[in-house]
Parts: sequence; C-alpha cells; structure tokens
Amino acid sequence: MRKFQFTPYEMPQAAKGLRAEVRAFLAAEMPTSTPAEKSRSWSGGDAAFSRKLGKRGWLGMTLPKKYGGHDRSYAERYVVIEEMLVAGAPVGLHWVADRQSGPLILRYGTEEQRQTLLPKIAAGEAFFCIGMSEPGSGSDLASVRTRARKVEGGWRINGQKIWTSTAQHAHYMIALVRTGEAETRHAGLTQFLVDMKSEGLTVKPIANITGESHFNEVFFDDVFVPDTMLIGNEGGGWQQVTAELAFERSGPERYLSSIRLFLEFLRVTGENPTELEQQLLGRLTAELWTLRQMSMSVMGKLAAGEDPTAEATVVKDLGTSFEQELPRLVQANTRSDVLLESGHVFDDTLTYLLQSAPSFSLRGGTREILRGIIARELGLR
Amino acid sequence: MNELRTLLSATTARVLAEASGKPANAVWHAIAEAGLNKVLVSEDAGGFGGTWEDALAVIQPCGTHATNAPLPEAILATHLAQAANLTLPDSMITIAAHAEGTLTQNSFSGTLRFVPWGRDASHVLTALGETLILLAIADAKIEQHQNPASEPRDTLTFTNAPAQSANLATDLLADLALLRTAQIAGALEQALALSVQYTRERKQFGRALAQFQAIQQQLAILAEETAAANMAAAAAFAAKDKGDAAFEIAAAKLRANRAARASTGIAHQVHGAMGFTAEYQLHPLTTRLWAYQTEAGNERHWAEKLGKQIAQRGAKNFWPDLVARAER
Repeated sequence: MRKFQFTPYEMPQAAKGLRAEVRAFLAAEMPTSTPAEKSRSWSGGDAAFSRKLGKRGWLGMTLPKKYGGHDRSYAERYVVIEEMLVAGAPVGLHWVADRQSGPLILRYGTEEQRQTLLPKIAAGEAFFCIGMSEPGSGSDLASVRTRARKVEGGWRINGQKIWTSTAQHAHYMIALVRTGEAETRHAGLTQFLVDMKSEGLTVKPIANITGESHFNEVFFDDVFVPDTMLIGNEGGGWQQVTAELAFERSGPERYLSSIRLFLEFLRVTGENPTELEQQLLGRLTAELWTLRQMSMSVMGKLAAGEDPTAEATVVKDLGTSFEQELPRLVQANTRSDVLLESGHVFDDTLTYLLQSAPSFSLRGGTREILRGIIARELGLR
Repeated sequence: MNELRTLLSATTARVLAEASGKPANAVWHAIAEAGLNKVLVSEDAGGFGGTWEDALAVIQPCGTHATNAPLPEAILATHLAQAANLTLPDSMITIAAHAEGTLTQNSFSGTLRFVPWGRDASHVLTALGETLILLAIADAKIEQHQNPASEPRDTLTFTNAPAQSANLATDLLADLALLRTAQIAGALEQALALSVQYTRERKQFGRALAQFQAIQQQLAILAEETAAANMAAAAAFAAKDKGDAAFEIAAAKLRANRAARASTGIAHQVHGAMGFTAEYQLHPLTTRLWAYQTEAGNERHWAEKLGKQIAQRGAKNFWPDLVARAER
C-alpha cells in the first residue's frame, strides 16, 4: 500500500515580499466588480487585465527568461495565483496557458514552438484551451476519435471536441487527437497546437446552467495543422497529458472557487456571530486551512522535482468537495433577514455558486475517476 | 527528514510494536529505557533536544500502535516541567487539562478528572487556573474510569497534598489537543492499512472485496481523510515550533476530528462482522478514534473558539491573517 506524503511547506522569503506587491497591484488595478462577478474568478476573464499581469511579469513566471518568462519559483507563482483567486480577479482567459500550456510547451515543444509561443503566453497575449473531451469521450479520455491524417507538410484533423472551456476566446488549442490505430487506445494519441483561426475550425458556445457560455463545442472539418505544430512525440500524447496532472489538480483553484461566498458570509455575519454561525465559520476555516497546507505541500514537491501526482489527486477531491459543499452550507445557515439587509449582493453570489458548484467535481477529472486513481495507489486495483 | 527524526521514528516503531498488548507498566518501562518520553528535553538534561516536529515522530505512532501508556502526555509534561523548573522524578508522568480545587502554601486539595493512566502513573501535571501544579499520585484517592477505548481515565482526589507549582505559560487543553490530533492521524493510518489488507484478502462473489468499485470509492475517502488528518497534525506541530499555535491547533483538532468521524464508519463497514469482533485488531483503533474526538475538545468546542475569533477579525482580515500565520 502506498502512503500519501503530505509535509508542511514553508514559503521562501522572496515569496513573502511578492505577496505585498501583488496585493498593492490588485488594490490599484483590479477592475471594479461585484462579489458575484468576483466569484467568477478563473471562470471569468478580461483580456486587458491579463495583459496587465503579463506586463508585471506575473504570467509564465516559472518559464525561462530566454523565452520571455521570469525564472521565478513555483512558490512565487503560487503566491500570485492564490492572491488573484482570493481577490476574485478575472484570470480565466490566461489560466490554462499560464498553468499548463506554457509548461507543456517548455517540456515537450520544439525550440521554434518555445520561441514563438512562450513569450506570447508570458505577455498575456496568447490564450489557450485544452482539446480533450469529445461527445463520446469524457472520463474515458483514451477513447478519443478525432483523427489527424498525415498529408504533405502536415496533418488534416477531422472530428469534434466538446466541453472545451474558453475555446471562444483562445488563440490556440492543445488538442489530443488520434494519429495511430484506434485499437491501441493509449498509444496512437498525439498532441497538436491548433491555431483557433484555422480554416475549417468552428467554435460553438454551449450555455451552461448559470446562463453563461464558458464551455464550447469545437468542430474540425479537414483542419490543416503544419508538421511544426505537433508537440512532443507522435503517439506520445497520452503520456504527455498525464505528466501534467499534478499541476492541474493541486493548485489553489481546486479549493478556492467558493471563497467569495465564504467572505460574504463572514461579512453579513458581523462581529458577533451566533453559536450556529461560529460553528460553521470554525469548521470551514479548519477545512480551508488544511487544504491550503496540502496544496502547498504538493507545490513544494513539484518544486523539489518529485512526482506528487497521487497527492495532487487527493487535494483535488478534498478541495472540490469543500468548495462544492460550501454554497449549500452557507445557504442552509444564513440568517433569513440577511437577504433584506444585504439586498442582492449576497444573494447573487450565493446563486452563482449554487449553480456552478456541480462543475467543481467534474472539471479536470471527475470525483469518481479521482477516487479510482487513489484506490489504485492503495493497491486495490 | 532529519537524522534525529529518522532515528526517533525507527526507535518508536520498534519499541511500540514490541510493547503492543502489554500492561501499562511494562510498556512504560520499554519507553523510558529508550528515553522516548524525553524527546523534547534538552540534550544537557539527558533528552533528545528535539523540536515539536521531532516529537510528532514519536507521538503519532502512539495512535498507530494503540499504545497502552501515556507517552504523549509524558512528553508534554516532561517538557513543561523542565521549562518551569519543577523537579520531576524519572517515572511515569501524566497530564490532566485542568484541576478543580485550591492551592495554599504548596498544598493542594481538589479533584482531577479524566486523568490518562492515573492509576499507573506516579505523577500528574495539571493546571489550576493560571498555575501549573505537579502532584504525586501516591497522595491521591483514585476512582477508576475509562474512555471508549478502555484507556484509563481516572478521577484523582487530593486532600492537603504537597504540590510543586509554577506560573502556567501555556494552554494545557490546546497542548493536549495537539497530542490527540497526532494520535488520531496515527490511528487513521493503521485503520486504513488494515482496511486495505482485509479487503484485498476477503473474497465474496468470487473476487476480492477490493475489486468492487463501491469498496474502492469508500476506501479512497478513508485514504483522503487520513491524509488530511496527517497534514493537519504535521502543520500544527510545525506551527508549535514557531511559538503561538492556538489557531493551528484549533483548526487541526477540528479537521482531525472530522476525519475520524468520517472514517471509522468506513473502516468498520468494509470489514463486515469481522471488524466488530473483540479479537480482530480494528477496534483498538476505532475506539480510540471515538475517544479522541471527545478528548481535549470536540468539534463544537474548537469550532466555536475559531469561529468567534474569525468573526471578530472580520472578512477583510480573514485571508491576510490566514496567510500571515503561515509566513511568520
């Protein structure tokens, strides 16, 4: 049986000074927004704000300077993103590029891909989306059927992706498509960088239950992708996708999605909470504190060059369960006169998070898949 | 892990495994021989000169091995007595979170309740208001009680008993909560290990229980809760090394209690009737997990304390406060 390793992580001194800079920046530069808008956070977006972050050097922070990055530590990037999330900054447009596309291109990309794309990511000028799910391929990702056919000088892609977040705003998609025989499942998958302006590519937004369109259908009708846009190894797509999971599953966005509502609850509760309110505040704080320790522990292991993929899986399931439960608990425990006193400020935040909470345990790997991975680590399967 | 901690972990695992199932005095003898009770005592005074994080390497296994002696209490008591310049005999010492009674001219009359291994220990350290007092249990009338794990939790009554005293420089209940948090994490680890082992061996419908998704998903939750309790304990011990750890201990005990609450049911459910027998070794763990949720403050106690504090600081300070504590 494997033991999950979680050890206390101490932020380095450099990260502490940076935090003050980030807070000052947010106080001055964050667009005025309501608590409900703030609760969109990494599901919301603002291209001008993304460029501002790029100018400050807070995107692509861990990328090397020679590719437009900043050679900063994982800890420093962690400080920036957790402060952004808690402030409810509109960080959704560059989120995928900053979190995983940049590191993926750095690790597996060609020199040309690094030189052309990484500086744009770091500047907040290139947004990415992840082309993984398909109509017949959700949790069973290895069953993707979108196919790239080799042609002179490149590949022709045909098929369809779905549930692709921010595809309508992205400049590039990193698409996982089939280049080998269908029977081989995990082999025969390849990642391509697809220019979203390519001829034959159509993006169709899908409205979700909040009424907003965050995810999309993306259709590929004989889309040409030059050879230079294949990432890593032909047939190595599955391995490349799974190598990034520790980054994707352990970050503060996996437990902070409902932080705005917690802060709103704290605000309307005031300085003299009832015993019921004390109980809820205390329990949620204990959970949040523990999750932050766990998330930082995984970051520390990534920084040390270890492979904490299994620990990241634990963080994601516990974290998303917390952020998903929070709106229900706040709803059940809020004084009934708060709605009258607070108008729609509180209610709009609650409404948005009640509606979006179901997605927390779906995006980035469903709860059941995560628990299956943990069971495998335990030696149960 | 540093060298001392590696050494402590190995020694503790060996000593506690060998002592398993033995009477308290025999367990204590093995502990004292290895000097595990002196992990926080300075090297000059014959201890290991360890930090709280080092002490965790000794305290957590007490939960794993369901240790039949007040080793966590003794580690804390020895540390506090040394810091307060109290004279401590080299024998089994325990702790009571607080005393009721009066202290006049080094003479104590009053009652201590829920004293771990009161019947076996030679001395007890306790808090009377703002005073730390050390008493010889030979001077007490002992009424035997036990917690749900059958660990001694005795009532000691003293009448004009000689007492050493000093100013109380700590929150004893919080210190005890810190110990229990680590023990919960240790007991959960072992309950998880047993559950994994049992479900891999036990076959029904022609396959191991571990192969059923329903079982896998439940054990994944058990593993996650165990990880959370481990993290909470480790972070609280790390905070204790930095000084004031009131916030972290409250949060950690709350989280560990929650983990224990969510987990014992799963461990029993996957074990079926076997886990409910006196013979099988799940109950020494689960009964301790129940006991330790009450001891040193239940969820209500710590949630109230934490909740009050947070509300007083307000929404604007919540996040900066949380971060600042970790970046002292």
